[in-house]
Amino acid sequence: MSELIFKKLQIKDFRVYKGEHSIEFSTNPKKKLTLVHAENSTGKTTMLNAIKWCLYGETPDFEDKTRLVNSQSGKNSCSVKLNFIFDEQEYQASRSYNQIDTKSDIKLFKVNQYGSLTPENEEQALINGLLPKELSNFFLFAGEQFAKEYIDKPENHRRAIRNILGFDLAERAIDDLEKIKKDNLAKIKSLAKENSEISAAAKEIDRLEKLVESLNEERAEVKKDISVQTEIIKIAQQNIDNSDHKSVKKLRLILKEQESSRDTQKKLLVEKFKLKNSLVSSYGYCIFGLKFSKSTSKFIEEKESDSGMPSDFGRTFVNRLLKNKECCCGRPLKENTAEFRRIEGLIDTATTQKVNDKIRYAKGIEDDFAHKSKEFIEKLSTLETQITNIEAAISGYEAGIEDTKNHLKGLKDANIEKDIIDRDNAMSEKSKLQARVISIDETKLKFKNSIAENERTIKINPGKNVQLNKFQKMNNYIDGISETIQKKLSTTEIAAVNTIKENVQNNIDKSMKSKFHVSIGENFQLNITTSTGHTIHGSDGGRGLTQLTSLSFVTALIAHSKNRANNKKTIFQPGTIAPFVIDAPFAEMDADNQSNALRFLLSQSHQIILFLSSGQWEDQFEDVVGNDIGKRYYFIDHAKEETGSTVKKLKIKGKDYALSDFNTDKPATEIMEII
Amino acid sequence: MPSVAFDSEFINIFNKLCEEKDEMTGQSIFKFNWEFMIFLAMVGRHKKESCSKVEKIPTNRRVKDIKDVTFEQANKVGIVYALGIDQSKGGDILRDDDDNESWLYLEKFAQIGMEEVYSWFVEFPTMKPSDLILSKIKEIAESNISKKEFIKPNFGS
Repeated sequence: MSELIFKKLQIKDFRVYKGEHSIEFSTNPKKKLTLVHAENSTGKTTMLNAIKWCLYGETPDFEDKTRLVNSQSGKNSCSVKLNFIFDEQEYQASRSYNQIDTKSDIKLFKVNQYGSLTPENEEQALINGLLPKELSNFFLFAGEQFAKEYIDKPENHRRAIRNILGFDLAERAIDDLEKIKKDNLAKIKSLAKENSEISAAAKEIDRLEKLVESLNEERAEVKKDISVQTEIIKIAQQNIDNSDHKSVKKLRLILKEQESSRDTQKKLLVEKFKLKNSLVSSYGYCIFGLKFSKSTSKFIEEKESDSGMPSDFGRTFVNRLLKNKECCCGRPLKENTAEFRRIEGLIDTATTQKVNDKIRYAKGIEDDFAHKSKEFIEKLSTLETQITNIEAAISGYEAGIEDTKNHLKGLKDANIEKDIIDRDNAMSEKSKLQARVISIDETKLKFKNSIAENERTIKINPGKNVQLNKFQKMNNYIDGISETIQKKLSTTEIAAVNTIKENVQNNIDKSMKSKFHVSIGENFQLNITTSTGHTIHGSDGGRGLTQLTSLSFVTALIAHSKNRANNKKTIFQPGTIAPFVIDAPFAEMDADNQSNALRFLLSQSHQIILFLSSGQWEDQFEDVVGNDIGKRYYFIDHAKEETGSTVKKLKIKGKDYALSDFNTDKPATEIMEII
Repeated sequence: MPSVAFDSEFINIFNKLCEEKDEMTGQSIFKFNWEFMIFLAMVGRHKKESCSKVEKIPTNRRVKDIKDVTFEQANKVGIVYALGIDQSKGGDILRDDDDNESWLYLEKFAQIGMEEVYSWFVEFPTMKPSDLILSKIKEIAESNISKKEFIKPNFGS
């Protein structure tokens, strides 16, 4: 593995850079840090993009990719030259652009010790060979953007990461061996068909391989469909996550509870009103009839005492006295005597059981009607108080419900239902497709087993065909080698992931106050969970954490590859390791995290170029990286007079550097070195 | 078998208090016709000592007939007998097995009560029937109990 070192960048009339500008990067391995301090919009990001454009002809960060020439230069062309060292040889990549024909031209030169240039052929291929474009994203990037890109779409980086880990060569070896094996098999089958003993097996292999091929095509199609469904799920989930559905859910729950409480109170209110109304029928007649009941009762008592009421003695008793002609005291009663007639007269006033009962009922109403007035008023008073309280509670709930409904109206949940349906349908479809993939794989396995069986038949009965034997043996060797590489790849990947994970975990532990757990998934995606097991999605944990984690991952990845490359026995050769050129690496980090990030960047890289805004630099960082700074620049802004911008200053080791100077005819941006 | 009835002249009052359901409770103020009859009779008796001047309801105006057995089952016949004793000024009225006179008193006092209730509705036409009746009951209840015993209810609603 070789290290790429950036030496010098020359820019001419490129974007904000009017005229010629150049900057030399520190190539001293003991002072590997180059710092560029500048305010926003003065050319930091343009400088990073100038390097990318020079190497690959692309400016992904520019909205208008054709407006590359500085508008105030009066020129129609611009150029960027990048001098770099690779394997102790200096090169110069030079790209120019003409805005009239919108063509760009790349040239690559070898630079000798006297500065003479010797052109190289196939410039772009050579540059791509040194640092493939997809790998360059891991070295040349804007901190915040990379963090977002990496965290959001780890699958896009899988290939590049495996390349950095050096798996590319081994994987290509396996592919090549497979191709050779396939060619050999074709030849074996062809030879086998000429052999009557094994021709049937050869033909069967032919047939089965066609079926496998067809299954492979179907599998690829199904996989594409799975990707489509995955994308649908992702978009729908994003919509759901971006909507206020959690708040909506919470508010709906609150609304439900409020409505339920209100309804309970309403039911209670109805019951109280029923009780209140029932007072009419249960107390009304007693209260209106109280006086009457008292007077009647009194009247009955009076009448009873003066025999105005049917007496307590019954007719049966009187009739018995008259029939037996004997008084109740035992004296005989003689007919036609005054005594006999008096007793006979009692029959008219004597009562019956039925009349007795009626009198009892009539007298009884006084007891029924008594005390009901007080009881009524107490009950009515209690019920009225309860009703007032319940009505107040209902009013309170109604106001709360109205408030909650107004909150709900203000939330964006209109399409959530549709997104949820889309997501669930896509999940269902995806799982069907995944089941189909499993089914295809099972069928393929059966076919492959049959192929292997037929191949064994051919192997066992190769006959006397020397050529056939030769191809058989070769394929046996290929199988062995492929298997070994595959195993090695697998174990190396596991070890690499573990090492990188530990490295990232260390950085996070040192930097974050809270405890986070880092894991690395199938596509090298970083998963961060809190101590309570809650997974942090996207930038939920704060962009500072996201940036720190992704920066840690990249540097740990590069460092691991470099360390392993020193092991001469390895079959995995990592590609070129380039310098880190990072624009605004710490945009969202606090000062402590920035210090930590600086430390691990320096400890795990051979050359670092950082573009920092003045606000991202603090004197305390001098203690952390001061000894590692090989080159240091600041940009002076000469272009903002008309906007009335104030002069900003950069303070380094107690000395002030003006970052703007508007009283000059100099180009918009001037690069100044701090020595 | 004796029975009592309401005067169809006051069918609106009857309907208002015995048929129409309250919007909130879904119930009428009087669930049973006999309850209303007793209530009216007591209102009537409270209003007047005697019902001698009250005409018997003509047959063609008798509606919502209630048989005596209904009052027996509701244990409210004591009121009927008391009215009989009260109006006949003696107990012999109870010797009549059918108690026809007593039931007639009940009906007549109910008629007086009906006129009284009607006058309430004329006086307070917009008042909710249940509130109106309760306020009238409360008024009498307050006069029934001594000031010492009286607890002022909360009529805030």
